[in-house]
Amino acid sequence: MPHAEHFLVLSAILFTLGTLGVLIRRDPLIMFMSIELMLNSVNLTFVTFSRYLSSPDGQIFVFIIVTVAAAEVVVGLALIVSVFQRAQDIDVDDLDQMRG
Amino acid sequence: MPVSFTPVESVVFWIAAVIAVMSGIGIITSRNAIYSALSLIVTLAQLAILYLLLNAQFIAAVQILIYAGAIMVLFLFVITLLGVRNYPFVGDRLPFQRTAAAILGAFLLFGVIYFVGQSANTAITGGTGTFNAQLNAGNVQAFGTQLFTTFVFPFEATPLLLIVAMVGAVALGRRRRAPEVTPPPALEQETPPEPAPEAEPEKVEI
Repeated sequence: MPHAEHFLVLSAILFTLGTLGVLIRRDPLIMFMSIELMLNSVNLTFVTFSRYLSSPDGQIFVFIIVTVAAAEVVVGLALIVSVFQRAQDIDVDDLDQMRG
Repeated sequence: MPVSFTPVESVVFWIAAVIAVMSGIGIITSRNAIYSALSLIVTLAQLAILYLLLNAQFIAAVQILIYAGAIMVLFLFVITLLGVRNYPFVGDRLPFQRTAAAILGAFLLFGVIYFVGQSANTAITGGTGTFNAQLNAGNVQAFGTQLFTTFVFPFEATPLLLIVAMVGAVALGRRRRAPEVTPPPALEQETPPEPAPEAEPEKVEI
């Protein structure tokens, strides 16, 4: 029988996996996918509390978060493509031109 | 009202949870970005199943339609546009990066699970509202009613956000004219002076 804790622990595991993806990968596309994974784990938490508290607010939060994620993906991928057009490479270790 | 699951729903939960974690591991361990994207699609589908278990039918449909349908297609489009290349995991500038990432990740995981175990028993004392009382399509109706009455201002603000993002993406992906744009000198030194013409990628039209 799953309880709220099971959903929350699953959400924590997915969030940690997303964090590890951002920390250890160098491909900005995979880092971006890890950020999406973190967003989705938070969405799972919102829906879980929406179910267990009998309130639609969490689902409305998730709806807004999905919209923000769509906008974020559009801008982020445009940035990655723009960087790739300039530098012909998108290894994040090489993108240090703004380092002070 | 108390939340309870039937045995079939419990089995579905465990299967979906295990597949979600395994494909989540697949996202961050695949060498190929295409495989990472496909693993992410699998994870998103499992989360949609969990949303159905949690009686959030509208969110499950949104998850499939927008995430797996639109966002991941955009990801795959960009991956194929930039070309599939294999990056090693961690750069050699920070040799301790992998160890530090593992330690910090373990701290994060145990910290979050600890606080979940601390708070869930006292925070969730059973539903107080009537939102999930009706178990089927009436749920979506209640969701829509709340969205268009209480939360109508955030809902009306999202189109503004979307159009700002779209204008930004068009401005970033615009084809630049060569004589007008002079790159800053620092950038000019670090980029290779003569990129081969056949290596020039296709300019995007977003």
